[in-house]
Amino acid sequence: MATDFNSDRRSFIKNSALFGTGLMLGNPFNITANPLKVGDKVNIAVVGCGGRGRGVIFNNIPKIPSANLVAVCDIIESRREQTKDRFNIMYNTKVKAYENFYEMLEKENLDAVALITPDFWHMPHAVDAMEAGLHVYCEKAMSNSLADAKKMAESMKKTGKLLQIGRQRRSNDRYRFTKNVLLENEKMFGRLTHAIGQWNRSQIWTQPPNKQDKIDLNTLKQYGFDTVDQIYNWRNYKKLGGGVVSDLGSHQIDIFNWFFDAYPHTVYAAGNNSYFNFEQADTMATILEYDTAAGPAIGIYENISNSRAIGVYERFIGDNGAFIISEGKDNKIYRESRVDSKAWDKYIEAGYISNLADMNKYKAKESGDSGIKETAPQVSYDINEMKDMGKIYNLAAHTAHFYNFVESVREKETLNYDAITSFKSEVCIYKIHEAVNNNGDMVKISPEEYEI
Amino acid sequence: MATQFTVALVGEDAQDVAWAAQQCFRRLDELELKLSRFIPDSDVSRINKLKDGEQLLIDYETWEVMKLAIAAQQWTQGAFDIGVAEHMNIFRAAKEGILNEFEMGNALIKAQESKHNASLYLDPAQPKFYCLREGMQFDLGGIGKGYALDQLALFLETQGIKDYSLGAGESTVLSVGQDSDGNPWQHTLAADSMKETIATNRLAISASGTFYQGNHIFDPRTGKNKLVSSFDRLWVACDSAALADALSTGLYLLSLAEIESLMESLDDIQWVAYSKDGKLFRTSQNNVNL
Repeated sequence: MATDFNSDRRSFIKNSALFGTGLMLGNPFNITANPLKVGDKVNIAVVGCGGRGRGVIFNNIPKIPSANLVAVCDIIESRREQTKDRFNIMYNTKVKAYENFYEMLEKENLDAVALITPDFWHMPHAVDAMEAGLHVYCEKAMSNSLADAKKMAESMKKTGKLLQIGRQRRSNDRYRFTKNVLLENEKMFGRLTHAIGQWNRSQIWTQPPNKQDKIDLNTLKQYGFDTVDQIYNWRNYKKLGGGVVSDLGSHQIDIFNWFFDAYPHTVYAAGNNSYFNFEQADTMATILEYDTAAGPAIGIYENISNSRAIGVYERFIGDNGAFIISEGKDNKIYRESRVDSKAWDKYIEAGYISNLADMNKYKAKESGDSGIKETAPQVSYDINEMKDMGKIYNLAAHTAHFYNFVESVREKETLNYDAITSFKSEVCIYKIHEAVNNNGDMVKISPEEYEI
Repeated sequence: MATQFTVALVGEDAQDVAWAAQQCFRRLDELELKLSRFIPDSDVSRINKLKDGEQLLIDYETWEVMKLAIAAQQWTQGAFDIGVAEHMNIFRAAKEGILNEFEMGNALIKAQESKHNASLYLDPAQPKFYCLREGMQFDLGGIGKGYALDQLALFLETQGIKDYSLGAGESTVLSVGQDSDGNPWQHTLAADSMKETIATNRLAISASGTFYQGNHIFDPRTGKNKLVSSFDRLWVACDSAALADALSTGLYLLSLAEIESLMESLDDIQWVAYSKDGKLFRTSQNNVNL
């Protein structure tokens, strides 16, 4: 008996049932066809077949019934051809591959493009695509210059086309639930006074050239790259990318802005490239000052590239409670001790949060407690059931964000994170760059600078 | 995955090998985001939250590892079972003082009843999960570490690295090719009073035992932690680290006769060894001699 997953489905179900298990191989609904007609789908091309581009192609698009991948584009032949071939084999499609973005726009009947390319290419491709009548999904950062980011937002406004920027936490159900229900509706944490975030990792992202890639240096130079290293490690070059603050910090500082419902008026920042000696700062810290509707607040952000200890998450402190939120394992809600536990019972009864690892349902009601024994752990809470918040995607955040874009193209939703909102967070990022480059000088930001 | 992974690679270019090792750990992070029930956005967490009548598209890796888990569950007649996360939650709550012994016992009965009433399906044709009736919570801890090693091996092959030894929590290893001296990779099976060295150039070995967790072990078939194994420790060797991982957990709960009967019909197992009363033994049905 060898492992054979192609065995008859009925026999699998029969065998499973014999063991009394509640998990079986099978399709109980017997519905496998996509109910959408071809004409109802959004024709999409993905530009950039690197790691994140392949994530869009293989992890996000196949989970979105209304998304139809028709073409991929990459200047590296092996990347685009392997991606195209793999997708066509997996999904029995006829996706085409292009080296040249503009040739693809001319030849394909597209509704939208997804730009998963180095930052410096975002503005020209996004603006030209919108001018050509296409909707655009663009990976963050919007660009490696504030002027170009502004052009993108202005183009969205002028053309009326959609431009969603890829900060996927904006479509993460838990982040949306925290913002819409816990913070706005319930004001559960009182006045938020501090946001603290960090993105700590062991090493700056670098990679050697892939030996399978056939690199034609003359071709690369046509597309703005001077060396082979720039293709693989563009994030470390100022003329191509924005460094760690843009790549990583922008995700989390955007969450500060979203949850505070405000944008900083003052930035202090310091950083250096002393650890890895690339062009961009590898180590930095910044303080952001806000005036929120509830009062002044401070954001503190650090980026460490030589240790992953402490990890990646955001912390928010309010006068009634605090919470840690992340896309990883670090997620917890704490009630401030001055707040009576009964005041938070309503959140438990509403199903929003649970405590004691949701083990209350097993506690013996007749005795009222579990007996006198060792010290019980500190009471903290977890998000329980996400509801009362509108759409729940129940998708991984990157997929949910792309789903929101595709459904917005179909006019079934509105964008969770358009370029005009994103631009405001890009302003913060470039003011941090400015502060770092000016030896940590304080930088003021006027409200007008956030406007498009 | 709440354990320590080790990556030993042999190659000519130190920079290439160092980069490949770094990529292995990135890949582990990716897999954890999909497979860990402790990460709220993972596929497994989202499966665990499905309500009656809901369905969910899942990642290819989640689909693949769950298909392997169902196969291992069938082969071991339920001794290996990924649907016991709620039982684990209850044990943890008891350990942390949230539930007393009486409450824990009742909670385990309720969790087992709920599990048996659940009706859940994994689509054999596409990465999709269906919940007809909720009630079972999944934890891939018993197979996920091995699956992760298989995935690292796939990546290393694409990078042209042919000689490597990968480990997860010292309980599962996957060794391919030769060590840096050009010899087959060597691993030791140890009992109290004897040990044996295994030399291999392509094999996954996984161990289960009670050395770190006490004598009484959890049996998914009963939902109780009262079972005492026939063995002190048991090792399973397969081509696939995922299967070695899962089967070492499952077979540890079976009798020697049940194991040997299973091996008669299952080509996926290379060999099974075990320790008892301080000595090492091998089963009679081994497909490869130790």
